[in-house]
Amino acid sequence: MQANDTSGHVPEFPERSGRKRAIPHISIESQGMIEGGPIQSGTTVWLKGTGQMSDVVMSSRARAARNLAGFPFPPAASSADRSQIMEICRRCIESLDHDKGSTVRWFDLRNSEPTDRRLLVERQLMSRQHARGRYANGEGGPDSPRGVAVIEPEERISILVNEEDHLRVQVIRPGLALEECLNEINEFDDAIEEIVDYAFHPQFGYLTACPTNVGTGLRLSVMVHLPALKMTGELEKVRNAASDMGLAVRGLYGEGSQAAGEFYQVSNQVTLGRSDEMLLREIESEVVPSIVRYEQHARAQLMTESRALLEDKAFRSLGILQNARLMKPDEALEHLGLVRLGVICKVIPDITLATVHELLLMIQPGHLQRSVGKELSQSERRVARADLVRDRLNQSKP
Amino acid sequence: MLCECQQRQATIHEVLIQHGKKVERHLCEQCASKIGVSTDPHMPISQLISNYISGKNLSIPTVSDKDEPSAKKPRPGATPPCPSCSMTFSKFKDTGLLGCPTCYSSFQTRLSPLIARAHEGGEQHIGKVPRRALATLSESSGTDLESLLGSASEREQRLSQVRTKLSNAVEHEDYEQAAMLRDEMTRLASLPSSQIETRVVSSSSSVQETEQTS
Repeated sequence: MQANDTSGHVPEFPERSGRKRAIPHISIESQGMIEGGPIQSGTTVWLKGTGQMSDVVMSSRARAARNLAGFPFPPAASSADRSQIMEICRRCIESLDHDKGSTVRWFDLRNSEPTDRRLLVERQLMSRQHARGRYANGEGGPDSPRGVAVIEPEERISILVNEEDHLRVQVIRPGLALEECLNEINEFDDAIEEIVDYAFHPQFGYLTACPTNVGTGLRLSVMVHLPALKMTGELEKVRNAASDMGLAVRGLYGEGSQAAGEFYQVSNQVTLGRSDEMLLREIESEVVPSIVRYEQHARAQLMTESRALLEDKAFRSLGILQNARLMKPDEALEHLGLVRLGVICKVIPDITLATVHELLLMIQPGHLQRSVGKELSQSERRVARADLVRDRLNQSKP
Repeated sequence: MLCECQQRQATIHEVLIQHGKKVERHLCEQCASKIGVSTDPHMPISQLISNYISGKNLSIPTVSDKDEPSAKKPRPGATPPCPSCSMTFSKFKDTGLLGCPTCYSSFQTRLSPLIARAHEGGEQHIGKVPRRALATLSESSGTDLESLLGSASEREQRLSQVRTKLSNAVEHEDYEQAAMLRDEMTRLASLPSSQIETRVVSSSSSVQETEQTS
């Protein structure tokens, strides 16, 4: 309410106690925000394998794109502008309330190690573009002022500063839980709006650097695992039906990635002319449940009519994972996908879902290199990946 | 159903509303691509926009893009650059990115049809509004924003009530009631889009008017 003036000079921010303070003299640690430091090890919240429809739905994610009024969008801003925007956003994030027992960790990506950036991307806490720092118009670069705040230990919420938009708030949860994600985004959004003025237009809604995101600025996406539909040859039908509804279907690691292992992300394309409620209803109550039913039906069909085929595929993949000496990421993903199907259909008895999910994260280059404690070349990674997968899968045998 | 060419099965169905009349066209892929109706459901939005901007997609009106071979020298009569960040429309066409919030007002006339196309006809924001923006906007411009969004949010509220009733009805296996509620939900949800469709009309000039169906 207080800081309405964003045209040029930096506004003042209320402390959580309500007292006002001037900007330049705050120690960040004192506000409960930790600067930098190690990225958590172990699995991350969206791979827990819990939540609604978790046999098919891996995770749900909501993301809101927001920009401050009176500043150029990051791709067109000067480096000095970007620094100032980052400072405002960082202070804003710092003053937000968060759950007891959790910590906000701020990563200034200008001074970060490439390995750290890779880990953040692999944990889906930020985009690849944000790691590179290069915008679609060719501006920016590794040293471009930008950062990401991650709320630990859950890693459910991350806030990207100076990605394509000034602020991108993301909430990710295991299973089908878009409504919870959206509610949490809205809480953060309201709290941020208490401090800064958002760029908003009566016709176009929340203004974003790319006009494909205007309106609600909201992207809802659900990651689904559809190996049975692939086997029964019905996957294309589902993909086409989703496209017809204006939804995008992408691979596991987001935009531009291949759908190895039959992991897909279903998300909305349209953000203008449909409210968040309508979007939510369409994806969470209509599209995803029907995709889930199709996949469950295909699984049941495989179990009754072609159980031998299903068992064969799952166990062949398990055999490769337990024995291979060189492993490419896509190959690992493909076999882990089939093993996951085998575990869920209870044809593979001695592997847990948690192990499979952990491996989905650990086989990626950044995590792989962290687990061995050094940088590896591509061919070294294939060896290390095969070793890691073999080790984990033979370990969990009784 | 056969295509207008009477030779192949129609697989592309285009519905446009022009001068208050619904115009339906049923086309096969060959005819659709000849006419310039997009047939690729997987085309990413960025490509759709750039196709649209460069005038490849003929079913969309473009604003004299073809006589701008080099964007270097802004000709008189061309869209002036954004006064706030000096972004030019041709630079936006190259990158798909706008320079600052003011660009939306600076290029509003040329942007509006592009945005509507990218959002499947969506032209008007519906949903959440930053509280302070709401206050400022209705004060300064006297826009009808409050009532517009108020009614939308009322609609949302009604929708969520109906949804709750619906799930209760399903729980109690009252399917007759559930069907009625479902219809009401569809009707409520379709309100904003029908509003938008009528507004699309004026900009879809390239489609010829045919007889009114239903």
